[in-house]
Amino acid sequence: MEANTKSRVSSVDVIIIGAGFGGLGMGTKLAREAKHSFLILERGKDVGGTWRDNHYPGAACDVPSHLYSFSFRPNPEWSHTFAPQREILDYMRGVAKEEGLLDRIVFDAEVTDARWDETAGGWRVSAGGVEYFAKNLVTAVGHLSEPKFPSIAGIGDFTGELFHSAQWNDEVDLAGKRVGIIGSGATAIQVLPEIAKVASEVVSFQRSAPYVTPRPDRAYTDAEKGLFRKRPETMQELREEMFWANEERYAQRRNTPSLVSAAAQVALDHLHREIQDPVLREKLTPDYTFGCKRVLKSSDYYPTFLLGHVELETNGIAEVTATGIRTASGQEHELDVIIACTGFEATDLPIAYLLHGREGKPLSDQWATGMQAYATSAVHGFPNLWIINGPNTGLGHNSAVYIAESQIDYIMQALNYRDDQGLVALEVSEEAEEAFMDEVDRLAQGTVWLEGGCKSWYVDARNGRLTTLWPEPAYTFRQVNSAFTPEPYLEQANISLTEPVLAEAH
Amino acid sequence: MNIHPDAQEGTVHIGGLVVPFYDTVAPQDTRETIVLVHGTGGSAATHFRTLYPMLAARYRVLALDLQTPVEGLTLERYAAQVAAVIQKQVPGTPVHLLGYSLGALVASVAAASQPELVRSLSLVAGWISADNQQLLRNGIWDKLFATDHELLREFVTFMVFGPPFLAGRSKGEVEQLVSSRVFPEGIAQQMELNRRADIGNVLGSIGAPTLVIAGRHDVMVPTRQTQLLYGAIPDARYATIDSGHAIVHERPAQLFQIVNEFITDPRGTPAGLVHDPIFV
Ligand SMILES: Cc1cc2nc3c(=O)[nH]c(=O)nc-3n(C[C@H](O)[C@H](O)[C@H](O)COP(=O)(O)OP(=O)(O)OC[C@H]3O[C@@H](n4cnc5c(N)ncnc54)[C@H](O)[C@@H]3O)c2cc1C
Repeated sequence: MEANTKSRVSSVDVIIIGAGFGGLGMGTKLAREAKHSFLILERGKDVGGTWRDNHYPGAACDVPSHLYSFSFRPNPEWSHTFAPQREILDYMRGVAKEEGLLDRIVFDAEVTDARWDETAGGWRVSAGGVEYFAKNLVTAVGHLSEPKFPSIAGIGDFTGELFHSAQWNDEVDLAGKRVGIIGSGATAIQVLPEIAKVASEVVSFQRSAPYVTPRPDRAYTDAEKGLFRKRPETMQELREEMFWANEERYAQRRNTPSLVSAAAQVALDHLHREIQDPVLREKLTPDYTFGCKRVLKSSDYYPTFLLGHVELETNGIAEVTATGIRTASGQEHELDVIIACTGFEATDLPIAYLLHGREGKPLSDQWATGMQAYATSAVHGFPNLWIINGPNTGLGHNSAVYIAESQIDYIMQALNYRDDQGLVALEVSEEAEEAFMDEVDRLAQGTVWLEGGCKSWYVDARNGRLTTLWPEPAYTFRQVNSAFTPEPYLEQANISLTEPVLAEAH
Repeated sequence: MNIHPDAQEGTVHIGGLVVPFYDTVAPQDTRETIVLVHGTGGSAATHFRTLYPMLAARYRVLALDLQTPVEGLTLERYAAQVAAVIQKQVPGTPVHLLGYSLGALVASVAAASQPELVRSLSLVAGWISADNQQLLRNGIWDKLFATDHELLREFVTFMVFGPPFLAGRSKGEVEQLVSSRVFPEGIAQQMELNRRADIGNVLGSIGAPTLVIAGRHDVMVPTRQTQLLYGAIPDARYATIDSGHAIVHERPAQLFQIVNEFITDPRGTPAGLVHDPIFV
């Protein structure tokens, strides 16, 4: 009976995978337009994606909240310029509830397989033991959602607590503990100051020193929030100011020495203001071009190293032992807890292994030498598949939500075009996809990522291409990737599938 | 420091002055050229430090440092410098010409007198002739320039940036804006030109498609003035940016996008159009 009801509702126009910013945004647009039936399949027990998983102490966004939120759901209540994780998660829960999405989200539904069914003209999706069918499939599984553990010898031997920052173990009380933090990226710099407040000893294992600029955070006053409520256009003005300020930072990435060095100087001045000890300063000084990796923001990271119980270890990790970490120089650090702040799988998207297109081959095969998509969201051989926050959507400088919204606009137009034209399948041509990627390559020339001697997750080691990042300003992303035109798509006139076949499929 | 790694420096001699320019010219580069004309107290490097590299990703960019004669400064003399640089570097090919502040007046005069050089015209925070509000400010400037440069630095910072921009800076950043302000040689002559310049009689003859860009919070060149410019030029469009007078400093990324969209297809939008604000 239960299975029966489920399978009846499980045939829809659109299935969205993932209920993070991407999936909720897509769902909101579909719900508001009310033309398509849809379901959101989410493997977790809650919405929020990134902001559900990353609930480590100190977690917050580093793009200002009035910008790092949906343009169509402004929020006058943001407490701070950079809202903490909890507030972002609550905002997303609010969106899901108020946009009527909760009825359409299936939780505990991890998609394990999704196949294009040529005869039925749609996608067969397996999730949580249930089979679903949808004419269109939208993946919004995130690009920073698969924790990446370091491959360090002996990591299985540790007898204390070891976990990844995105799988924070709330059971472990860090008070009075000796804690090792591996990594010095965006997460580590948020985690470290918080851990140092409670732990008895903290060792930060740093492979490469990041550029850290001050984070100009502050609380919004009641007057400001009141004004935002009464005159929402003032929120929009603030959002625009934030957006264009971030866009300006894009110019720094264009490998213009005067701008790169001016921006780097802000970070180095910050370091020099906070850290006087020459040895510590040296260790915290980055050795790569500014902007190569994500530029981090924190005002309390550097001061944390001045605390007596906090140590910065730069000698590289040789192995994890039963009781701690041994460095390459042979020093042993006895630890109770190890927290891996080692980032995420970014160039190799796990979802690609689950998606099977026209010829039954997985997308991961097609992407074996690097991922690519037309207009960042359509892939040849995979009809009616739309990818949010996939290839070339990462920004070094602006809001990921803005990017997702641009893609959602595109996908909405594509879905409506497919309907209006009575097409069964909408599939981009390989030529259009290649031409698009050539254009991305061209745009990437002269950016700091390809020319600054950068070695970071932005560049796919397999083909040396910029596959994760969008090499232009965010505004240009919207210009290029948010308006659907049918020309790049294959002629589908010869396919004469009719709707009744679809209905019978389930 | 160099304005851009691809920029080559050169000079042109005209009217007894040596005018430096910075050109991203490259042998295989067939991209269209945009020419940038700075405003009062500025230079190519100070007014276009962010706009120049943004444009250079798409266009051949040519910017010059206007040279001020000791005596007899006129818009025509500046415009002749612009024309000379264009003729030397891009002979026979009309360019996209952009002028900022006083540079907008210079660019207007150049476009009116040598229409064959100009494919499109972008006028950022420009005006036709100074009105009472501008004359008052100019007079205060003059007195402070003669008596108190310290106070003048504060006054100019106070005037040039939009209130929201200033309000959004930290105290240290505002101090930095004040202390870094310099008064380069020739600035007094330029301010005097600001006072008496009047391009009212040339605007009607500008044939190039034109985009007039205003700063919504500009108190030095209020939108009342930029709108008149838009009214006077036959084939003009109008766009507003939420900025003070220092658009090139406050909102270079937005300015870039608006200009880029315009010059990609200058007649792609109809004359008279008032652009909607960009929703982000
Ligand atoms: C700590 C941290 C801080 C960040 N801060 C910022 C910031 O300040 N500004 C910014 O622009 N970006 C930031 N980012 C990037 C952030 O990932 C994006 O901004 C955004 O949240 C991505 O949204 P998404 O919906 O694409 O993906 P996610 O939020 O990752 O959501 C994907 C969802 O898909 C689900 N899912 C995945 N696979 C499956 C499957 N097989 N079946 C079913 N469900 C599945 C996941 O459970 C998850 O809920 C940050 C990232 C991290 C990790």
